[in-house]
Amino acid sequence: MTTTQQERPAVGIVIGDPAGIGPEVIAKAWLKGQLHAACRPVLIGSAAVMERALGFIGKTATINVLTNPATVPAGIADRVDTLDILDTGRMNGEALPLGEDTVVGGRVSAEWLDEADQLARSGQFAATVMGPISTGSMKMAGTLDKVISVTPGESYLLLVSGPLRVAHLTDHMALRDVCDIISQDLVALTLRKLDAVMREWGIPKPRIVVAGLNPHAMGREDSEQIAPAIAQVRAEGIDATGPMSPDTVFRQCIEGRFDIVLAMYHDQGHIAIKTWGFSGNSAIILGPPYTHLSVAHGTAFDIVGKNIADHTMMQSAIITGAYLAAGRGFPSEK
Amino acid sequence: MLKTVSKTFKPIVVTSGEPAGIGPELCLQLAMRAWPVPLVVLGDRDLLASRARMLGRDIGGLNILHLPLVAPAIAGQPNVANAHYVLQLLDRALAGCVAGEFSAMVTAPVHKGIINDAGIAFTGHTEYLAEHTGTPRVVMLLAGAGLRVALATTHLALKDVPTAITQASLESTLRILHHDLQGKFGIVQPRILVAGLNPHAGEDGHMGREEIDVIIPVLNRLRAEGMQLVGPLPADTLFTKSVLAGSDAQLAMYHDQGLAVLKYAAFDEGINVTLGLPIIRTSVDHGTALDLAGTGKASANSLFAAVDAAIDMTERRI
Repeated sequence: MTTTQQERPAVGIVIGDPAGIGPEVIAKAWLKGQLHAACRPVLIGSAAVMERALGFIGKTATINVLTNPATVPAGIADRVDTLDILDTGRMNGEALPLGEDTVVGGRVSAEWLDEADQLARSGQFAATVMGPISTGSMKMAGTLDKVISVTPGESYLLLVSGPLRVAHLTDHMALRDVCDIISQDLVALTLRKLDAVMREWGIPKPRIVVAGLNPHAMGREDSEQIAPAIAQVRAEGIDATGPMSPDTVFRQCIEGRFDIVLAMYHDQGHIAIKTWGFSGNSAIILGPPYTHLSVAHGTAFDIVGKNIADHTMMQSAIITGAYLAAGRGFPSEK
Repeated sequence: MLKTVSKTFKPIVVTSGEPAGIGPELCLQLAMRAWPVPLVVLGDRDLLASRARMLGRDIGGLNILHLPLVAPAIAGQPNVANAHYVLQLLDRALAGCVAGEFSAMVTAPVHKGIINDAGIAFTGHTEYLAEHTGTPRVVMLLAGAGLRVALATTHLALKDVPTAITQASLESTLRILHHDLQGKFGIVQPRILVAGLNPHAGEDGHMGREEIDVIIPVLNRLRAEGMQLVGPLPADTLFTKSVLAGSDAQLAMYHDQGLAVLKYAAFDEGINVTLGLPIIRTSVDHGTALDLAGTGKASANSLFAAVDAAIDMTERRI
């Protein structure tokens, strides 16, 4: 199969907190050799940290260091055996942290994220993937606000776990406040955005199922806000269904009757995703003008450098980002 | 496999529920298994016999305690005239449990809507049995696939959940859960996982204050009495294998926090147990499935699991 440049978009991979497992799982995923069939990957971070990560996993590879953002992606080697990395020197002169929260870790995590965001906004990346960051480090550095966050009506968290895909209407919001924010307008607006982005990703007529808010989807908000919003967008040609009982809706998606579930609140969707724990988890933030994903695991400070961290979630997040950015739909799980 | 059970074991009574639903035909299936204790099916004998004929069976192997229908029952078409019959099944079973005639009651599904249409206020078995035994507070526990999920609130609009969970209500729920895990499940020192209400269990008050203001003070108070309580835990990881390991029950703050997982994991084998009652009561966790009534297609797995649980609880009762 020949693949065109369009099908192999440039994907920026932020290596995450330098003290965590991000660098080593990224190195592992890269050298497994499956990323390049889907995309032209470029790392954003520190070459020294990646050099150390190669040591952790017992591998050698050439590191092609780009120091000028303007040379991305044109200057990348685009080869499995060569790690391409944009390193603008943010860690120069710093001791490399390992297995703990540090101010420098929090600072560079945010700076690298910002670099990736700018390159994506200027069209040099079609997608970005964020390696695991540490909220502890970022709190110490005062950079936690740099993480792309979720604002209802503007941006949404979408979690993927195998066949189960769940977008969330609200995210880090007290349960008490969730019910007040749910309106026909917000649900309709969200369904339109979801439908549009899924089409861009290459799912021609996305089948969206909406979870109800209340037990058995039989409450006031379900009948007065959610159901009318669904009727409204259906009249516009969007294939939305629901509101469906929250205790059975996720099974419907897992069994393939729908492409995605719209959950009303954080735990409604997260419980389903984390409990059924299919392989290939990733998190997508809908909102930026490019495809932005993060890996679904943390920095795992306790196992850093031991060559036991599993790279498959990272690999899956990168390949998923590449597929979606190229309009190829979600990669089918093997 | 037959279990050995003490000879003084009183029968377990199974109420056959809404006569137009799947309850009667599920009860017929009880005759297919050899049970270690006598079972009594409570319902109209002619109804059970006619449903058996529809499915090419007979009622020979069933021990039936006859209570007559008010009006003929047509599969799939509930009749308000039979609402009193449905409640009489519950009254008779309950009276028998209280008097020591039965060791436990297992309930097949009733149709709340049709009972309400008959002009009788009825929100569910759980509330009915609480009221008729003078029990001020009961706890709904759903079990299956190795999980025992108790609910701090049940069929409540999500909007009303945060206000409904007070220190007093939560403490009472945990005391009932702990007491019945010991007394009805025979768990000497139960370890209970308690979910938070908010995302990340509130994350130190950043995403809601109920954990700090309500849940944590109650847990601390009860821990001081020796209860093994873990939490408040973020609900999204509570039901993962590593967190569940070594726990005997899980307390969810609201319906969908607990039931989404259970419905998936236990599929058609989930059961419902009412804790806090002076009697043992278990139930199927499904409804009357009017569209399946009379077809013989409905699965009796949940009813079988409910009978198994009632037997276990009777054996372990302290």
